[in-house]
Amino acid sequence: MRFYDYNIDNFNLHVIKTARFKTVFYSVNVRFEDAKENEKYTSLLSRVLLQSSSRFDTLREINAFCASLYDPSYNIRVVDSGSQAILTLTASFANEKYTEEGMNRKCFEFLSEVLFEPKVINGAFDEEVFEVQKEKLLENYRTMKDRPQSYAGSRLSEEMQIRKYKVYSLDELISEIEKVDAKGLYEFYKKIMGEGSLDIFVCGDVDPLEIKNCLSKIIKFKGKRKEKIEHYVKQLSYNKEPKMVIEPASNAQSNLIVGCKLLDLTNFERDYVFVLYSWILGGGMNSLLSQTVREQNSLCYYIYAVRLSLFDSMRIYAGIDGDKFERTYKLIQKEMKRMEKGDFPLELFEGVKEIYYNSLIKIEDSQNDLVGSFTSEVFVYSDDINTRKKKMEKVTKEDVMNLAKKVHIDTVYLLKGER
Amino acid sequence: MEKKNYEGLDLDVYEEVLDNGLRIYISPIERHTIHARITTFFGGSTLEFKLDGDSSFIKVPGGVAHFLEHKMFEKEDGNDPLAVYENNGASGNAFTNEFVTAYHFTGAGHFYENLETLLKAVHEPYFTDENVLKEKGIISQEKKQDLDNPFSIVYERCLVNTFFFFFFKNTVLGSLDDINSITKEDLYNCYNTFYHPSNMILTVSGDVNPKEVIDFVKKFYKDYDFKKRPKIIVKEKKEPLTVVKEKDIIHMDNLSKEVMISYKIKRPTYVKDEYLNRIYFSFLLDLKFGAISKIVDVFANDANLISPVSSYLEPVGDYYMIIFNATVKDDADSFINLVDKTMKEDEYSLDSFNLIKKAILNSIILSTENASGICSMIANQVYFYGAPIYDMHDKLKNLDFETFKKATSGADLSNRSVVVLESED
Repeated sequence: MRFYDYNIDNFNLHVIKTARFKTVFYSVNVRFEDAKENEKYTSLLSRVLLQSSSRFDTLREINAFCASLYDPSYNIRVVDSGSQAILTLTASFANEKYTEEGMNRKCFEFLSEVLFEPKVINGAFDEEVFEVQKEKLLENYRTMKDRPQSYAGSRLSEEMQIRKYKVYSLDELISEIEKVDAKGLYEFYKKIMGEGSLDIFVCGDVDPLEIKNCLSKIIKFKGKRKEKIEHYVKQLSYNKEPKMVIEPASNAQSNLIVGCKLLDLTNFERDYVFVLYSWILGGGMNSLLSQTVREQNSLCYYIYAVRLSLFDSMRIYAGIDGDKFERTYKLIQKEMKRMEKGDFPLELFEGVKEIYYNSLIKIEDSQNDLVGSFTSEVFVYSDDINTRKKKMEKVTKEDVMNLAKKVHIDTVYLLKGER
Repeated sequence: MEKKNYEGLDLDVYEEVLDNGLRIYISPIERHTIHARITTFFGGSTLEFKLDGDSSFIKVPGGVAHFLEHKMFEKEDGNDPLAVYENNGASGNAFTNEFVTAYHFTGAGHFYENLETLLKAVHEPYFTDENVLKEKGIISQEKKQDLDNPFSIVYERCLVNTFFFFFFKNTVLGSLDDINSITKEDLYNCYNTFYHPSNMILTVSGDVNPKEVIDFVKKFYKDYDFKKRPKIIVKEKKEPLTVVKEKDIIHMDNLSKEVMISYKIKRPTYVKDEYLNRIYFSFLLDLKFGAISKIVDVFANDANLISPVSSYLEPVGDYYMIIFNATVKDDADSFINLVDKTMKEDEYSLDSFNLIKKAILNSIILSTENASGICSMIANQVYFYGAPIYDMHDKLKNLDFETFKKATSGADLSNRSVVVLESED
């Protein structure tokens, strides 16, 4: 496996050459600054780009062309990356060694077109496609309560501020999107493509120079290459008395989310100690929360902790019976206290380290993971895989206990099922 | 040990059958990790069974296969197999579907320790009244997640409204009442019947040495006394062509409408090869509703459809069940009628047929890219067709348009059941 970096005019190309896979993985990323107003555009943008094309009139024609290229699978999303947002296209297709010569180039051409050459009429996205997609998206938001887990997640984001600004409430977001038109969305797209910075990753059994020549001709991008972009959003304060939000719903189950903030983390803590902390507390079936809340008290089927490491925060999710909320919440607090005291089995501490080392080894087994790992090295300056292993080996139990003292419950959200 | 090969896919498989009946399939690929999976042919839709020669059938409540899966992680010495995997840096899990229950792990090191743990996990049951009771709380919460999920609600009702007798009509989790009625005796009855090596297969893929694995597994079973025994008889019931109920409305406090349509179709017999029979039938769905069908633009431009339209083909006994699902804003009928009209059209284009063929050939290349995908593919083929389809690439390359038309032309699409979930006002 070898890595190649190229600076081409106004974008960076990163090629991972490896003969392990039968497919070629392609990831195109336009990074731009996160802002409150973006939210009304981003979901719409990926929908419109996926549903229209400058070369084909209908979705069926797009799909038929795709099938003629042996059906590359692709998706476009805008992902959250701390203080940055990333408009990203990821795709995977069979290497031409398994199909027909010339297919790799054709796939790159088609996929790049989807992102960089959308259908535009009179300075606006295709009105028809736009209006339908807007209505579908709005209806999705309007009916979000039908999907309790998504709704609870969205409500916690509203109640617990981790960004520099307060995000739209669901109702505000709906009324903001209602005001967006096809021209406004295209203006937003142009702005990103003008101000953003572009990084492209290709992974597979390919000739790096050939890829370089091919993509430098295909890619039409007007943004600039930037030197250093900071993604981390630090948390400066938290609710000393956690904010409690309980909302009734006509559901069978109650969805609990405990939102935590971490203050004053060092880079070492964020990248390594925090990983261990969250896995010991709420990673696998062996974790403290799983063992206590699920296995010993039969209170839930799922309970787990998720790090939002670019935001120095963490969420604990559980599905419980509404009348067991107090009991569950007390147990969660108790387990978090145990983390501070170092009252967890050494075997668990060593076990999650093993899982971490294993996850490093596993990266090379999947193109998605390889590109993901390499992307985080480029974007948020993660250590390389060898350094990651060495640094993780250094983490001590005391490090985890010290970090535990920096974890503060900020907001508790319960969507209380009353059916 | 016999070496076989998936032709056209660069994929070798080493096969072995042990004296106790366990079938082993090992497929080395160039990866750092290994995925190992043991599958028992016992899933959520097996509720009445016996060993050949026994006088009466054993009846168990719905959800028992899944309940059993949970309880297999409980051990007398308190050592949870998942904890062993985790301490070795690997990750393990299990799943139950309508047909099988499978236990698996993926990891880079400590492979034989993990493999031993996996095999012990499925051969050393420890059920007590107390630990069965404890699990009821956990599984009830798992079920309640489904009770808040519009898709699961309409799916569950749809099964009941489509089939009179097939056990397939029971969901894998069972109802809350089923879950609460399960006893440790039920679990032992199922365990003793279905967790015999002769009803199981072991699949392994990744950075693995086939001979070593087979030797290890043989040695492992020396400590167990699995005798040859009569075959398992699962009670089969004759299922009528018609559905139980053609239309059903569920009233719940929902903002959108959730629609499910199921077609119950007696399996056409023109194509005798079961694998090809299913593939040809799935082409029917691809041509009518897939990415390059005419209807894809109709769906895309219909603002009444909030979600994408999904469709599935399920083999159920000697039937195919075709299911459509979508979330709609307010007009359920227009969606139902559109699907029905499209189902009943029978004009197909050769060009589209060939494009879909191309896409399917690509998809099977992708499915051999990871170790767990390979284990799934082999286990599915052994379950449904009795053996891996080593010539599948060739079979797919030779799919033929005229055969397709004959294979699907006799299908009776008149037996349909529709469920709509909506609010009362």
